[in-house]
Formats: sequence, C-alpha cells, structure tokens
Amino acid sequence: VTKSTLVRLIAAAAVLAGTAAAFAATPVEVYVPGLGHFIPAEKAAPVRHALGDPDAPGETKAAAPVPDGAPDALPGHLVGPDVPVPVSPVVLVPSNGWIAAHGRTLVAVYAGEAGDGSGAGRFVIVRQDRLGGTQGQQIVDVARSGPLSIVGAEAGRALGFRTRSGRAGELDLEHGIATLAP
Amino acid sequence: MLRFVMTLWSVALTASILCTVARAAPARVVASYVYATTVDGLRSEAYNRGCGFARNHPGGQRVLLLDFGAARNAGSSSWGALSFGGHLFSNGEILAGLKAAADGHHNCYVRGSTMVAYGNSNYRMASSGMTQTDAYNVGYYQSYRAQQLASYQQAAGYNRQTAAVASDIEPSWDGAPISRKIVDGASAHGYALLYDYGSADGCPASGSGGTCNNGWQVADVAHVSYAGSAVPLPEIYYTVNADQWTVVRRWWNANAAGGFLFFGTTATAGVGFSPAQGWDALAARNPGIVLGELVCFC
Repeated sequence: VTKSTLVRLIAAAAVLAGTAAAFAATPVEVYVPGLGHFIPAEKAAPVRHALGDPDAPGETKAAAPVPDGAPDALPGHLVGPDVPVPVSPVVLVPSNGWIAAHGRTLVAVYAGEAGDGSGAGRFVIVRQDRLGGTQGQQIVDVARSGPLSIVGAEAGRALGFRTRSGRAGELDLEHGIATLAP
Repeated sequence: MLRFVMTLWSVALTASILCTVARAAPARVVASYVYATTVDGLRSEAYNRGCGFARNHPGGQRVLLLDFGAARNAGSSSWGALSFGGHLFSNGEILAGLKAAADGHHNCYVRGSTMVAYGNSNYRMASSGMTQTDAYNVGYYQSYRAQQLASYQQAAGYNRQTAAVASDIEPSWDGAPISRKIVDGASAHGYALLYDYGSADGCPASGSGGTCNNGWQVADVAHVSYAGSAVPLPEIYYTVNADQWTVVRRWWNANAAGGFLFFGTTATAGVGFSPAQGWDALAARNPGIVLGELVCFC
C-alpha cells in the first residue's frame, strides 16, 4: 500500500464516518414519552411546546383579569356571500346563512344541500351560550327538496325559506323543525 | 374435562388481552366558532369560552380549539381572520382574544391541562385576493402568535396551559397549492403544533392514493395534515371519512418519512357518526395510532 493510497483510504473513512454521524444526529423519528409514540423529528419541538413541562408547578393562585365588555349583539340578518361558513362541505353545500345574537344567546343558521349528494335540503343550526362559553349544533333535513335558501326572518322565531323549485317553507328556530307550505 | 377447562381458560385469557389492548374513545371536548364583530366582544366571547372549557375539562391534556374564521390579509403586510360574524380581525386582535381565553381558563380551572389553539381555515383565500405568499405568512404568523400566547401564559403562571395553532383545511374551499402554504409557513416558523381539523373530501375510500375534490391529490391532504409541524385531527363524520383518512395514512407511509400518527379526531352533531363512533371508526382502521383527542363542534 502506497502512502497516497493510505491517505485516500483514511480520507474516505473520515467521510463515511462523518456521514454516518450526521445521520445519527438527525434521526427520522424521535420518541416522545408524553405521547408514547415515535414522531417525525421535525415535529419534536412543536410537540414539546404543545405538551408543556410536566414538572411545572400548578396554576398560580392569582386571579386573571376579566374583560369589561360583553359578547357582541348582532341583529338578525342574512349573511353575505363573503362571510365564511364554518360547516364542512362534507356536511353542507351552503346557499346562504342567517345570524342573530342577543345577550346570552347566538343563533346561526346555514341553509343549502346535504354534502353527501343525497339531494336533501339541509339546515345547520349553531346555537351558542355566549356567557356559559358553550356551543351546540343541530341538523334539519328536508328530504328530496334540493338546495334550500333562507329568504328572511318571520317574527324572530322562524325563518322563511325556499326550495330550488320555488316552494316556500318555514324553519321553526326554537324547535328546529322545517315545514313546507302546502 | 381438562381440555374443556383449558379451552375456557384460553378464551378468557384472550378476551382479557383484547380488552386490555382495546382503547375506548376519549371524552369529547367542545370546540367553537367565533362570531365576534368588535375587539371587546371578541375578548369577552373568548374569555367565556376559556372559562366554559375549563369548567367542563374531563382531565388529561386537551385542545381548546377556537375557530376565528377564514384566513385573510388584514393589511398590506399583516394577516388575520374573517370571523363568522363577518368582521376582519388582525392577528394582534386575535392574540388579545387568545389571551382572554387563557385568562378565562385560568380563572375557572378545575383539572387537567389545555392547549389553547388559534384556529382558522382555508375558506376562499384566493378569491378574496390572497396570494400563496399571503397564505405562507398566515401560517408563519399564526405560529408566531401562538408563541406570544405561550409567553403570556408562562409569565402569568398559567402552568396548565400551552399554545398551539389549528386550521380547518378543506379541499373544496380552496386549491391545494395555496392551502399547502399555510402549513409550510407555520412549519418554517416552527414553534407551534398545527392541528389540521379539515376533511379529505372527495378522496378515495380505498387504496393508497388518487384524486380528491377541487383538483387535490391524496398527497396534498397528506401534506397539509402531516408535513412539518402539522398533525391530523380529521373530521370523521361518516364511515367514508374514516376510510379516506386511512388512505391518506397509507399514502404517507408509502411515500414519506416517519410513520403517520393521528392526533385524534374532530366530530360534529347530527351526522352519521356520534363523536365517539367517529373516533372508534378511525381507530379500528388504524389500530394503535390514533391519540386520545376528540374535539367536537357540537
């Protein structure tokens, strides 16, 4: 073995060792005890931030500030086309919506067609207790009607709507019942 | 007789092992939509959500998901979200809301620990004038605001809280290229875990790839749910959703590094599955790789 060959062999071995070390330093997955699972290494820091420090002391006893204001009042109104609809397209292909909020209660109604392609008209009613910080949701279907559109509120307790064919109906907001006009 | 006893013992042992291995769906926690139209209203609404969540906390580590609405530009170089009440809030205003949620959670704290998550969506970003660069910045600064929230929580001594981000990324709501940028931006910032609580709508229910709604590929859904800092919290409302997300998992495991892990599920009311049934359906198709989170818009 000549001296130059020996130098080349040593250099090649160094490169291989360096490459191996680099791979060892950047594992594809890391084990996270807080999850009990391996995750891709690039998620390790975000997961650590989300899990927090399990050894941290308990919550401070000091009370947090309470906001002065109240949840916004919203007069009943039809939602414009630019306002986002929160309901997944899996559930609803929306036509339009209507929102009202007074004091403790918010009601939002989204009208359209069921997202499963069944041809059913559908309302998704979101109700929020804005002081209690809770939310509920109800789905009301009108079989084989095609897409529904809200046309306006009637005395605040019901919404008028129309089917694709132009048939009128009424949605009772309190009980969540849709009725088509005869 | 001995054989009969041995058989009974064997059956009992097997049943015992199965019961030990099987995991039940976790208790659901309620996620909610933000309808505020003023900053004061936003703070009040968020405070009450934080308090309500804390009062009903089932224990363990759970996600308080506040969906602030559709990601939007809030100025020439600022971003935010358009609430479901139709008001555009800047990220600075949303941070004020997140801090109020943290305050409310602290004042009503009972048990467990909570990740307070800044949620938005990819709802019609391009048609509102947003570019792919805007979408990237949406994700980047969403993560940054979560980091600021975490600093606030730590400084205030809210030691049973952390901060995260979330995005309801739906193929039908906007194209894949712009939607992927939300995840790319958040991952580039790198602080916050990003829960994708969207759907795989229109994706195949079998196999390991294919096309979805609106020109998306299964690969795109895999990207927005598991690339970088993203993790999946998929909407499982019907049987087909559990099947579609199983396809996404197969695609990832066949084409990308690191095993796909579901960080829980998202549910809603009045659909095919109850919240627990949705979690169970996904877990049955992906045994051992669905974590114990179940958020419900219900």
